[in-house]
Amino acid sequence: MKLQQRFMLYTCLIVLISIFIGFICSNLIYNHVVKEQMNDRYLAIAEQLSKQIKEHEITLRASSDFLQTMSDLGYQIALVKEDGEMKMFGEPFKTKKWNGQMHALFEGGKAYNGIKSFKNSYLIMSHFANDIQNTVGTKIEIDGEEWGLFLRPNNISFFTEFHLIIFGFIFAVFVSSIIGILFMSRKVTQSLSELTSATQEMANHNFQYPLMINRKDEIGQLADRFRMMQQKLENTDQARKKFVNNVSHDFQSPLLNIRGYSELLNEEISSSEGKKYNHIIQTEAKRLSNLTKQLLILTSIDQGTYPTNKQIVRVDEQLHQVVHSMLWRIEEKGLEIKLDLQPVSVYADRTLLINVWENLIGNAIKYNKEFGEISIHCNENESKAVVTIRDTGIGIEQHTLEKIFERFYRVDQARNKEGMGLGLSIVQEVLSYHNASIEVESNEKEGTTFTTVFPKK
Amino acid sequence: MHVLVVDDDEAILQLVSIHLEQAGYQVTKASNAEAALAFLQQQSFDLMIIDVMMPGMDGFQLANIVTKQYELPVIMLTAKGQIEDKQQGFEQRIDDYIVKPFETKELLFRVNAILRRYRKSIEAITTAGNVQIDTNRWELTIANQQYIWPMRELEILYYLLQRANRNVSRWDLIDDIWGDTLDQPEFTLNTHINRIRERLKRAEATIEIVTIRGFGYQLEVKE
Repeated sequence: MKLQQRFMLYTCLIVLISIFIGFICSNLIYNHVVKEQMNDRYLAIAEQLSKQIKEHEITLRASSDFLQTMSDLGYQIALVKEDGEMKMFGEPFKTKKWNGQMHALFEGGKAYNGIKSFKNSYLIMSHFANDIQNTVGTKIEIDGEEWGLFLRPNNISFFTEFHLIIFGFIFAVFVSSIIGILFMSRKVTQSLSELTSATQEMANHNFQYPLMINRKDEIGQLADRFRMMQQKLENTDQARKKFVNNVSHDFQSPLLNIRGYSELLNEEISSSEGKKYNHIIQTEAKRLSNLTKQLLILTSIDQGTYPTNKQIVRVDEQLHQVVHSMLWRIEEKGLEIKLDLQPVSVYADRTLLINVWENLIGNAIKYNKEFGEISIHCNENESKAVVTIRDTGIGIEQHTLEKIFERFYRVDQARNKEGMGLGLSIVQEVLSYHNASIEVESNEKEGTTFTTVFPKK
Repeated sequence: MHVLVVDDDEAILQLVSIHLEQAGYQVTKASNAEAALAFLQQQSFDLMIIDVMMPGMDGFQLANIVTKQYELPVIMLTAKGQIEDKQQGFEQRIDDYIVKPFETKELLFRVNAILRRYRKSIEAITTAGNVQIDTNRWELTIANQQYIWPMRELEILYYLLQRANRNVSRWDLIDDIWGDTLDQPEFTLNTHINRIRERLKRAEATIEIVTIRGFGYQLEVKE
C-alpha cells in the first residue's frame, strides 16, 4: 500500500475511533450529569406550572389553551387522569404506556422523575425517546380534579438553528482536516519519492542529482544530511579516481623502465652500460616493491580492514630500533643523530606505528644535507606523549607545507625519483587512526621539524 | 675474515653469501643449526650470521650456544615486526640484528662494524670529561645526551679519548683508522677533526681537541 493511502486510511480510522470514544464519553456524561440536571430543571418548570394553575384557579379550558401555548414553545405535555383519560399538547407521545411510578403520583407521590430514570438503553439516544415515560411529572388540580401533568422538551427544540451551525462547523472541520492530511501526506511522500530517486541516481554513481527539498522538519534534516552525503561521496569518488590514476601511473612508469632497459640488456653493450641499465632496473623494482607495500598499508587503514592489534608500545624503544636499522644510511651521509628519548608508552599498533617512525626518520635522513644533524626527542606527561623529529635538511617551502600529507604529492617531481609521495600520508593516516596529531614546521634550507602528539586517556 | 651464515631459506643464504664474498669475505653456508654446529667444530670463524626462524633448533638457541662456547660475534636476521625477538636477542648478548628485507649496504655495514670492534678488542665504555663512548652499541653520550655519529668520526674520537691528555701523532692516527688506503690522508683527517670539534662544541662537551703544531693532536679535558 502506498504511503499516502496509508495516511488516509489511518486518518479515517482515527476519526472513527475518536467518534466512538467521544460517543462513550458523552454517554457517560449524559447518564451521570446531564440527565439529572435536565430532570430537575423540567420538574421545576412542571411544578411551577401546577402551582400557578392552582393558585389562579384556571379552568380546564383555559389551562388547555395555556398548555397548548407552552407546547408551542418546545414542549410535549400530557395531562392524565387517574382513570386513564389523557389530553396531549404539542407533538403527541408515540408510546403512551404507564408505569407504576407514574401511577404513584395519585397515591400521594410527590413527583415523577422519568427523565432521570428512563432506560430503554444506556445510550444517549434514549434522551430523544418519544415516550410518555420519558418525562417529568407532578400533580395538578384543575377545577377541583386531580390530574397528572407530564412534560418533556420536544425533540425539535434540540435541533435548533444554532445546532445546525455547530453541525456545519464540525463537518467543515472534519472535511478540511481530511483534505489537509491528504495534502500534507502528499508533500511528505513527494519528498520521500524525491529522496528515492536521488538514492537511485547515487547507486548509478551520479552524485549531482539536485534534491529539491526545503523543509525544516525531520525530512528536511534527512535531505540536508543526504546532500552532505552526496558531497562527501562525490569527493571520495573523485579522490578515488585520482588515486587510481596516480597509482596506475606510478606502476606504469617503473614497469616501462624495467621493460625498456631489460630489452637494451639483450643487445650488444659494454659492461659498464650493462651495469648502469641493471642498476636502473634494480631501482625501479625497488620502487615498485615499496609502492605496493605502502599502498597495502594505506588501503587497509582506509577500509578499516587492518588487523588491529593495539597494545602498550614503548615509543622510545621503537625510535631506537628504527635509528639502529638506518645506521648505514646515517653513516653514508655522515649525519649526527641526537637522541633524547625518555621512556614513553602509548597504546597503539606497533607495526603501524613503526611505519610512522620509519617514514619520518627516513625522510629526515633522505632530505638532510651531508654531515647534517637529526635530533629525535620523546617524552610524556599525564595528558600526552610527544615525539619530535628535527632535521637540518633542505626544508619545505611554506606554500607547499599543507600539501605534503596529500597522497602522491611530491614537492619536487624530478629531484626525488625514489619517493612515491605516500610516506607522509601513511604517517598521517596511521596517526589519526591512533587519535594522534602531527604538526610540521619548516624553514627552507634550514630544516624541518615534525611533532607528533598522542593524547593519553 | 671467515663468516658462517645459517639460514634455512636457500635464496637468502645464497644472496648473503654472494654479497659477502664480493666484499672479500670467506663464507661458509649452513642450512640449519645442527650443520652450523658441525662446521664450528671443524673450523674457526670470525663472525656468524643467524636467521631467527629456523626449523629444529631456532636462531636464538643457536646464538646462545655460540656466544657461550665460542665467543663469536653474532648478527641475527629477523623478520619485520619481531621486536620481541630483538629484545630477547639483546639479552642473550647478540651483537647486532638486521631486519629483513635488508639492503646489501646495510648488511656489509654491520658486518664491517662488528668485525672492526672485535678486532680491536676495545673496552666497552670509555669516559673523559662529560663524554662517554659505549663501543658495544656504538653510542656516544655527551652531557647526558645520547648521540649517534658516523663510524669514522666516532673511531677517531674514541682513539683520542683512550689517549686523553697525551700527544697523538697524526700518522699513527691515520694508520690506525684508515690503514694506508687514503689518497689525501692529511686533508681527510683535517676535515674529520674539524667536524668532530664542531659537533663537540654544539653538544657542549667539556673536552677539546688541541692541535699540536707539526705533530698531531691532544684531547684535553676542560676545567
